[in-house]
Amino acid sequence: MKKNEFNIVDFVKIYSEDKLALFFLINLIFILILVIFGPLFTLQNPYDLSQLNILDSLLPPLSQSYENNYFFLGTDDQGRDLLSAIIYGLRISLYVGILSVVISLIIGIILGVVSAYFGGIVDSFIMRVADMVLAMPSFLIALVLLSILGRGLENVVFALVMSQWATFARVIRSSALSEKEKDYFYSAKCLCLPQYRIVFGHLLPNCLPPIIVLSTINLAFAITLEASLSFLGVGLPITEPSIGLIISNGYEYIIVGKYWMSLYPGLFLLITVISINIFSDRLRILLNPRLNI
Amino acid sequence: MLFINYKNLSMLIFLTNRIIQSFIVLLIMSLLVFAAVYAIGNPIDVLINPEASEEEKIKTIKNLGLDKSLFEQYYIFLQNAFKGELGYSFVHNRPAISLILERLPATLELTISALLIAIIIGIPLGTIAGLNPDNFISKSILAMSIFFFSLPTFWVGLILIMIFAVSYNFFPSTGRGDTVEIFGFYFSFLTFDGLKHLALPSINLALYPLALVIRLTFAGIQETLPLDFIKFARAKGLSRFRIIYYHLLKYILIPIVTVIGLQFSVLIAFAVITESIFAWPGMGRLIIESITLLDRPVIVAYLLVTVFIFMLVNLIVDILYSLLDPRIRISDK
Amino acid sequence: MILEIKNLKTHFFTRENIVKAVDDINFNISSGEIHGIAGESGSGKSVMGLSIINLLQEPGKIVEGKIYFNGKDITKLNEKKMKSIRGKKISMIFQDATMSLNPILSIETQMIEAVLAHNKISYKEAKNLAVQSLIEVGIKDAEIKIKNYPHEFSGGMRQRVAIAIALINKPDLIIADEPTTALDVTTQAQILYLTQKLCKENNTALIWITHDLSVLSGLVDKISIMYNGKIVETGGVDNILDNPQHSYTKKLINSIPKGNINEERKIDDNVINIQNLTKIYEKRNTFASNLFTFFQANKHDLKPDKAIKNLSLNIKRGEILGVVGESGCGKSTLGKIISGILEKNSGNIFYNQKEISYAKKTSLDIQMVFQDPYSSLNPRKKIIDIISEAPIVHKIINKQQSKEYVSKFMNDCGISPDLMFRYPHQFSGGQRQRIAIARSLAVNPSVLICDEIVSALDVSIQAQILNLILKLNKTKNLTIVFISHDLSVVNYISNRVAVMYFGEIVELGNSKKVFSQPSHSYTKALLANLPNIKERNINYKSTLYTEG
Repeated sequence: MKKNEFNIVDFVKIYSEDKLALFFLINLIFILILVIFGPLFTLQNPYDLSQLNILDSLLPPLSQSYENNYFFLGTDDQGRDLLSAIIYGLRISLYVGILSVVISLIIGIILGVVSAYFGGIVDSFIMRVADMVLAMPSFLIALVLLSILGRGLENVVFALVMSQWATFARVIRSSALSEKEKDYFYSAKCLCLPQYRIVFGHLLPNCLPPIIVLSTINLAFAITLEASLSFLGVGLPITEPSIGLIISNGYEYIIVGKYWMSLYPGLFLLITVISINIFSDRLRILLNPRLNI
Repeated sequence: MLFINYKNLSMLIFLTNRIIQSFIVLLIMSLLVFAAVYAIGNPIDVLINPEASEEEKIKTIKNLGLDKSLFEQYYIFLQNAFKGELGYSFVHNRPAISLILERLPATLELTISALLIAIIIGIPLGTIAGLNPDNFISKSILAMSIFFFSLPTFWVGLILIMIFAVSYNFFPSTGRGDTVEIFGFYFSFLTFDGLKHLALPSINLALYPLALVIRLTFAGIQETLPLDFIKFARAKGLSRFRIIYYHLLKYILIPIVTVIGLQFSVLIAFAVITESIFAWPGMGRLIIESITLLDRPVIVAYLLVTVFIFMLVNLIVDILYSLLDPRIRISDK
Repeated sequence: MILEIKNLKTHFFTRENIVKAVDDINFNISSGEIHGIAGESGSGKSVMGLSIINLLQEPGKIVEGKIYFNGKDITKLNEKKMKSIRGKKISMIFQDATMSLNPILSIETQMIEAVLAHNKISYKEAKNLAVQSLIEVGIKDAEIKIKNYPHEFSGGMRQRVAIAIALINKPDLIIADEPTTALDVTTQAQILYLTQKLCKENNTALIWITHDLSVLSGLVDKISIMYNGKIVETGGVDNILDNPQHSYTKKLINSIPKGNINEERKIDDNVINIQNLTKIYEKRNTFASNLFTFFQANKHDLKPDKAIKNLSLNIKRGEILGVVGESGCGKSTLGKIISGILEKNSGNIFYNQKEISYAKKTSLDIQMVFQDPYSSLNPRKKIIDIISEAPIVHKIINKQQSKEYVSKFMNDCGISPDLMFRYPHQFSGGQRQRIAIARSLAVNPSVLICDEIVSALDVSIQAQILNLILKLNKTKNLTIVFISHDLSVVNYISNRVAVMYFGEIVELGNSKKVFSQPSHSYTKALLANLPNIKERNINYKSTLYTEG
């Protein structure tokens, strides 16, 4: 019998036996610390123009600044320390990613549970709309919405939510439906428990494993999506530079061999996304949920 | 004598059903696109080139029927759409639909070659990993798939250009190269120069579906191996080859086909990124240019064409699915 | 001796420990002999079968011992040589043919590949052999049916196909692992009869692995009893069944419900009246409805063939009413409608002269216990919360009293109250079923509907749960509706019995009378095909109710 319980001991065991996963878990924690406390130890606030010096522009990694500071990852065309820019950029990327996943999750839980619990016309309607959204690639939905709405943090979050809620709603409905078929659900009905108790006390807690795993997968996806959109110039505005925008700024300098402006921010993005993906993969092995759409 | 084959009949019902569904979806999409274009801001700003003169504006308003009611306008929009007219591009001053169709072969070439790379490499790798999950090679394959899964497409494109085009000058970084005309469309995969141009963009686009196909094949095999019918096939004394190719792979092909079909749509969307990095002259690059230049009719045309392609692909996948899986009561789907 | 097993040990090496699934077994079977192996779940009987043809899955391994097949040790054979024995010399049949036939390949493909793997003959000859083999197992129109896919056959027919595949190369030995467990009684009798006949005709040895001793009584020549990875007793069928020596064998035989212990109660006070109840599961199949299904999200919720047709029934206060019937006859649906968790289409149900409705289920008086003890308890709650939730919600007790209250019901159901802070997964199937019963009792119902509550349990645990039900019926004057497919269990426990067939009650009456002098032909067929530990012939008597 496969236990359906989240067990912290099993979790530690899986990680302790898997060096690769452990490495990326430490990475993830490191990135989170970097992002939360970033401004405390960056060289400068990269978007305070008074702290920038144009004489420092386009310096390769490990150069010394005009004021004898080290630019570990070099500077960009405005003399901005790249490492500081990356840390600030990651903050924005993660913020947008987490916010969009949390909102999609809330919408998904409400719609998915309502759909599964009440069935009938409500269910049919919600699921047809979700199917329609799912038939379109999420990247395209976000792209089109942003092309209509224009750049902006709220717009990006809105576009990400619109492209993700349907997956959540579908998966949660499907797992709620399969829980609904189980005898403990019938027994709760038989015992005349009130509806809110059945939904929140019995149905939702048992749908948690797929919800947790799906959220982490989608977090990685949302971060990549936002970066891609910002790279294409339809995502976040220049005033809120995420990693994608930083990479995009370095794009034109690649041809002339000044590779670092695109390479390093991309590496940071990649490590963040891999760490989240490996984390969610190990969670999936541990929780063994059925991610039916 | 009238002999009705039940299987053929239910197939017919199923197909009609799906086509009607696709049609409804297309209709709803057209409504959404229409509403989006009209709901946001003044349609005159959206549909008429802002640089046009006052006289021209009035003329176009009349031409486009913007002086009529919204219902009438949607009706006219639909009528034109059925005739294959989806407006004029301000930038190119040509019918938007012909702009799109002109670039469609380039995009299809790119996405299909990426998908082929993913399938041809992904299924064998996934099978190897699935059959012996514990050895080093399998673990490496799985780790690699997570890595590919996480790679941001646009950044990989830049790195590929940096390594192969800038540093080593191995592959050209932009354009399509020499093309060959077939039935009035141009393809580059038939010339050596064209293939060289196709290599980097299609590898770039293939990484994500490759990771997906590997993981899917792996998971499918892992789930199928312990099933009784595999045990029964072994108990019959069948060869390993027959069990793997006939019992196992044919069985897991069903979910893989579905996902690959869905991936085709995703790839057409992601081609937008790859095309704009590698200056590949497909419709993805066109749409990004149109977004930055606010060329709305082209955006509308692009959306409707892609939705049409998605519906078509979904339909093909559904038919394939019912051909592969005899259990499906087709009429039930 | 065609097969001799000497000191076989098969162990499973898991991360935590070594499971000795088969632990030092000696076993012989001679050519043409039919040998039954009986044991409860976890006794290692299936592992033993898989060990013989070396189909063990990781992390299982034969660690010691020899298996002589026709005098040659086959444990040391390489995979290639083993392959030439599997399917050719030794065949295997598994529990559920739904699972053991590949769903996406036609029967033709699956039969012919079995022939061609071992014989150098043409496809056409192989097909002739396959058709011949299907005819032998009693499949009509074999030449046409061979083109079908597994899902186009019924359960019994599929198992016949599996038998045909196992027999097609005329093997010396067949290992059958619970091949009739998933089937109804009448189908089971046919399969038993057929297998015995074919094995005797071809002089094929047969090892029949089962948890159900009564199946073996008419089928086999010898029986081995397995317990904890060891064979505790082997002997002729009469010796084992009539004169068991080992204490475990005795316990196993005594656990089989025999006869009837309950008289009909002489009360005429009806607690539940059911009048003209009808339940239809809608099945949309027309062209128009297919277009409509586009707007219908829950297609898979529609289960056809489980309908109830115009059913009327009275349930008397304080009795145990058995409801018996084969799968799909609507007996579970009936239980769910009575307990108010499933909607009916038409008809009336009265509880103490008051009508019950699905829309406003407010009465706790009718409670239900379900078949699967693994899914009927919410895995995320502690036992104390599972049992006390409803009483607290309905203000029968307050939160402070819950510990004491729960202890009382756990005691009543034979579970130590010390365990109330554990989670369901820490309990065995039988214990879980006791907890489920305690949960229902905690709201003080007067009617308890038991839906197949013992069918997932081993026979010794089954006997304990049955005794618990009997005790509750006597001490608490609880009315019990006992739904089961198992005639001997229903016979054992009930005062009255209702026999259901395709949504209708075909016979209703005093258990003793129904089981000794059935009046309806379906009941007669059921009883005639029921395997009985006292009989030494297969009770294959009626062809009246066979599947099409």
